[in-house]
Amino acid sequence: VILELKDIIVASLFGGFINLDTRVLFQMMVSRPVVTAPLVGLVIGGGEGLVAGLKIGAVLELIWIKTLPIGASIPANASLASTLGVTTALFTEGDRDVVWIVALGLSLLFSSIFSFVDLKNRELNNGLVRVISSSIKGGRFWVLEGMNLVAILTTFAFGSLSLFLSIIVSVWFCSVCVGVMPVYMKAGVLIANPLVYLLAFGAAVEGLLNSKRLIPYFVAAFVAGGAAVLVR
Amino acid sequence: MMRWQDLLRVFVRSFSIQALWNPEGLQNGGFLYVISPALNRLYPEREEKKRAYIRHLESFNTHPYMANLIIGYTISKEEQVKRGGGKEGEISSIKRGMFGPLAVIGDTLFWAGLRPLLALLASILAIYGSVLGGVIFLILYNLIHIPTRFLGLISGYRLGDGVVRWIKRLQFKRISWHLKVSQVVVCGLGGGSFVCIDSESSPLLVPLYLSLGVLFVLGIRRGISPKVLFFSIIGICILVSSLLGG
Repeated sequence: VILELKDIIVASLFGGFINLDTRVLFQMMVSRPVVTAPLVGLVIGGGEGLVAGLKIGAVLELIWIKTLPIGASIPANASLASTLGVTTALFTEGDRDVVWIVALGLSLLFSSIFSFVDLKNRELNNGLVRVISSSIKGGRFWVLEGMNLVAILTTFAFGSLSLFLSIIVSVWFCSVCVGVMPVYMKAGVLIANPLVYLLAFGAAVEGLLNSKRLIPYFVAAFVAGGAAVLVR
Repeated sequence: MMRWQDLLRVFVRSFSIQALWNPEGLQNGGFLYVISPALNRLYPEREEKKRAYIRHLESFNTHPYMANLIIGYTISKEEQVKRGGGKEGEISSIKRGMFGPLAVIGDTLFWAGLRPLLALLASILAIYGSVLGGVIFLILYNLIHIPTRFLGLISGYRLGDGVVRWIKRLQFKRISWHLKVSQVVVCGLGGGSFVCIDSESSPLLVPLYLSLGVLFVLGIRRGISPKVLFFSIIGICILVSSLLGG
């Protein structure tokens, strides 16, 4: 394992910061996997990180393309999951084409844990708003600003801490997995490489093709896309 | 009555409207945080300010980008109340009446429309190793997102009661349909070219990929999670590899 504590801390803090964009600050879509993963990859691992980030980000984005953060629903935390995926892929030694698939699988598994962390984070805000309410009744209006800052900082802390712990577990597991994998298993994972992209496209098609009226547009575009490649 | 500096402060704060999101009052804390510079300007007197603050701590939830329209309108109504031209209770019912429909508009146009369209484009380019898609995604998305927030606040404040008529004039259903068509066209182009590029070594792979793609779509539609499918693919490929002797 080519992992140092400094690297984990940098990845966790950077990932925790980008995660703020998911809900708490801006919502400018920097936290979408297709942006987060290449960005984190570039910062942590330079050119190699960028390549891993593009692969992992594209697949996670397509898989979660239809998830909507509507009302009280808490969708999979795509930002933290993509940061975890790309850092695991970078910090694990071994065949790159095998490592990125294992890292992708781990990031999909950990996304449920990140959603649970989100839920706890939001529940904590109940208490902060109660503090605001009682402070206003007492005429301490400045507490509103303070609690808003506390909410931002706790989200950052929850995100960074959960990333820190999950990176350690994920990199360890990925290293053990890839290390003990026999040749035939590695060959199997390599066969799965294009099928993972296909699954991601399948998830996107399923999410977006939600009306029969859209099918002709999709089929025509699919044929045109294929024909363009064949003509080239 | 409101200075432009106050509206600017409200606008800047609107970027963190969801920071205090909580299961009990939803965006109530965020709404109050965003609108508080305007309330401070309107109600310098302590008791009036206290009443106004408590008034805006009631439950509130809408699409974060569309919230500014309601905030702008609420500020104009608060000004009316201050001038003695309206009742405090009206403000709450206006907020309650607006946040649901605006949430639907925002979710449809942004979460289910623009975001997936640009994310698709970015993902397809990313699969072929290009960062350009991500850059285009961020630039185009925010060229629409940030003005929506800004114009929402200003329109809500300036138009006052006319804001409802303004919303009705927006042909969001037509825009939403065009976004959906664009999404499936981009998805089709990306999927079609991926299948053909990846099977260049052997044309026999095309029918295999097509059948598997249809299976994945049907599987997910039947409720099988993409996570389960992901691990099933890996398992089956390892099994095939072991049968073929690595």
